[in-house]
Amino acid sequence: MASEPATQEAAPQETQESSQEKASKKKYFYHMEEPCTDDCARKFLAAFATVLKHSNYKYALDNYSRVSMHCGRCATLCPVYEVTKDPKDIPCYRTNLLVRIYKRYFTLTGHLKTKYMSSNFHLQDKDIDELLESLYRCTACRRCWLECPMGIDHGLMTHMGRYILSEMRIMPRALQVATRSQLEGPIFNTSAIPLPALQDTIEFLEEEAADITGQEIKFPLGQKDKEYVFFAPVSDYMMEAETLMGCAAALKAMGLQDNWTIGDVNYDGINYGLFYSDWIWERVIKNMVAEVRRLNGKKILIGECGHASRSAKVGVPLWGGKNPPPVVNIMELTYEAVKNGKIKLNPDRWPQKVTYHDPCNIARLGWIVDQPRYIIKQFLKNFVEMTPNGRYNYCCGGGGGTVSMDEIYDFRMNIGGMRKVDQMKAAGAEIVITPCANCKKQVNELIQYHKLPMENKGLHDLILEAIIWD
Amino acid sequence: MEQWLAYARGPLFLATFLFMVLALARLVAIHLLAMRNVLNNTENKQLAPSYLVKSVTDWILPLHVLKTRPLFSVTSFIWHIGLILVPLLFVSHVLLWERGLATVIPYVDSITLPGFIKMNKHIADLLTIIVILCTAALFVMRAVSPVSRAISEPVDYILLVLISIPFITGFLAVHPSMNPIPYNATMLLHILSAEAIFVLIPFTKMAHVALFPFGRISSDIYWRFPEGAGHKIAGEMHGEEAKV
Repeated sequence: MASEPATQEAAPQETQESSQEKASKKKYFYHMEEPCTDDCARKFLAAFATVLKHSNYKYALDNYSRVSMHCGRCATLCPVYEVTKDPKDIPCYRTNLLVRIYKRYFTLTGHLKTKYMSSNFHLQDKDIDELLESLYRCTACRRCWLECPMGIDHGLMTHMGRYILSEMRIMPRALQVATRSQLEGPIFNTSAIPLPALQDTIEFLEEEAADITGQEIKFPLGQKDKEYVFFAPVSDYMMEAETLMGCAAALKAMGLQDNWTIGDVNYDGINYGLFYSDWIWERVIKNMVAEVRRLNGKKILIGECGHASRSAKVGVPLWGGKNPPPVVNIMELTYEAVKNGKIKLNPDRWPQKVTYHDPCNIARLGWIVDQPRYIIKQFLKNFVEMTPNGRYNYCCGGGGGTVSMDEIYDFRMNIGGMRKVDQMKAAGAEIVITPCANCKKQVNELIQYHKLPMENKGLHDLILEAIIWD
Repeated sequence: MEQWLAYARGPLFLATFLFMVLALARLVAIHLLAMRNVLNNTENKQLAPSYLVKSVTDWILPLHVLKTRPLFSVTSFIWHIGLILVPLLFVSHVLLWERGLATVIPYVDSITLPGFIKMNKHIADLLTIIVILCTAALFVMRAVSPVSRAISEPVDYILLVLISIPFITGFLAVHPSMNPIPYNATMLLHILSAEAIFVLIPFTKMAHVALFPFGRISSDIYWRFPEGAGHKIAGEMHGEEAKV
């Protein structure tokens, strides 16, 4: 099995952990604050019923339960199944775990079958254990959806299943802690970066950007009446300085230096609600829109981040109130500027062989696929594609919030990310461009773990040093 | 036997056919209402018709997905062609249409449908044989492929067998020389199995004959969540003071 070396390496850690956790009898796939100890099936059904009552999932479930073909095409595109070959990792199998519960407990035929045909399926606690692992083995990349003849959106079902679990307090601790910090404080962002620390970071970024480009590049903070309010994933302020400097430099080069701002109350684009809870999703979106309204901004500008872009693109029209602000990804702006000749890029700055990783959340529907490629072709002469790419890209293996869960590191390295590793090896590039905070962390870890001879950068990292200033 | 055959051909056929049409109409209505509800209770009411149409038509002729599991895809596609065309257009079936329409439309004694839609015996034979072979192939592929086998339920196999019966009996009925069973029995089996399929279509995955477009566009519709639903759910589960 592919996972053997990793389990050996991680063995000492595990024994430490298990001594701590011996009190809680079961070993789960991920850490959680309040694992369900008894009566889980009943609690799950209660949560399921409540979710169905107030949401629109019943309509989707009604359709999926009627048309599901069990054809198995989805398995041909699932990066997890391709590696494990475990039938339990087939997207349709996972969806069916939820659909069969819906059919059995929430439809008339289910009731009739139980009453008159002694249907032998009764939800038990072990089924919940299977679900809670299965739903987080899926990275919600939605690649399988492209291949389903009936259009069943297994990503939607994963989202719903995780939401139901979260309403019975089952969710990965990593996501829960970050979300709590973002919504309940005391500092109100996922990485708990206080405003003074942000100001320090920004000063540092401005100095550094001036050193690199020889230009005065500003990071406006908390300014009113600007067109764009910028939300980067807040972890970028600690980990991805170059990407942020690149974004600011690109904004200056396209003449928007004085027309954008970072919020000084809410400056976090991360929205883990997309991964596991509509409730969280809605609240984060409302906070984001409130910040834009407070600053009297016009548009929401998202940095290099896949899930932040999609959660805002989908969520703002739903929960952003009347006349919701449009959502723009920084790559769309840069693309326009490069196309109009406002940004000129030096084709000699990066002679290395370069490849591009499509983050699932912005590429799967074809939203941001061609724009970055257009930018890349303007200044990176030695560009190779990974196959498949674009809408059919492989997930990096850290999607759906799993990248934040350090306890499944081995899974991410040896199973979830294996297809990406194969792709990156085959492309043979020296630089992998990953314009997404989650993907960056995962791809960095993959490169380290598998000792790949390449480095990982954001698109704007490269733009930062390639802009030709007039 | 003659009486049974007459009964199966006449009232039973009409009843099962009408049942199928009405039940499918009900399903379509349910799905249209569901879409209306979703658009009513969420703030994002925009639909892009061209996108919706494209997501359906892309899979009417799904050439772009032949790369994955090509054998299965091609078999399944050809199978569907025969499955749709023979029951609708085979010349003896067109007679049924003509007779049925004449009884439904008032003041019309007889109806003759244009000749070019009538499929002659040779094409129908060919398509029927293709359907039978494809059904067998799909059955085997389902049983052999580890993926399909893992997610298949008994009904997935049973339906394939059921679907093959009217095609096999139909073929035998028009080729009496090959038929070991009496003609009337063959026809009775042919008609009854077809009627069983009519009745089962709305209740099984065969409902996709009408629901196919709704599944295709589901991904565009159902990611729209109602405003405040999360708050209500959290409140009902954990009280107004619900914590993250």
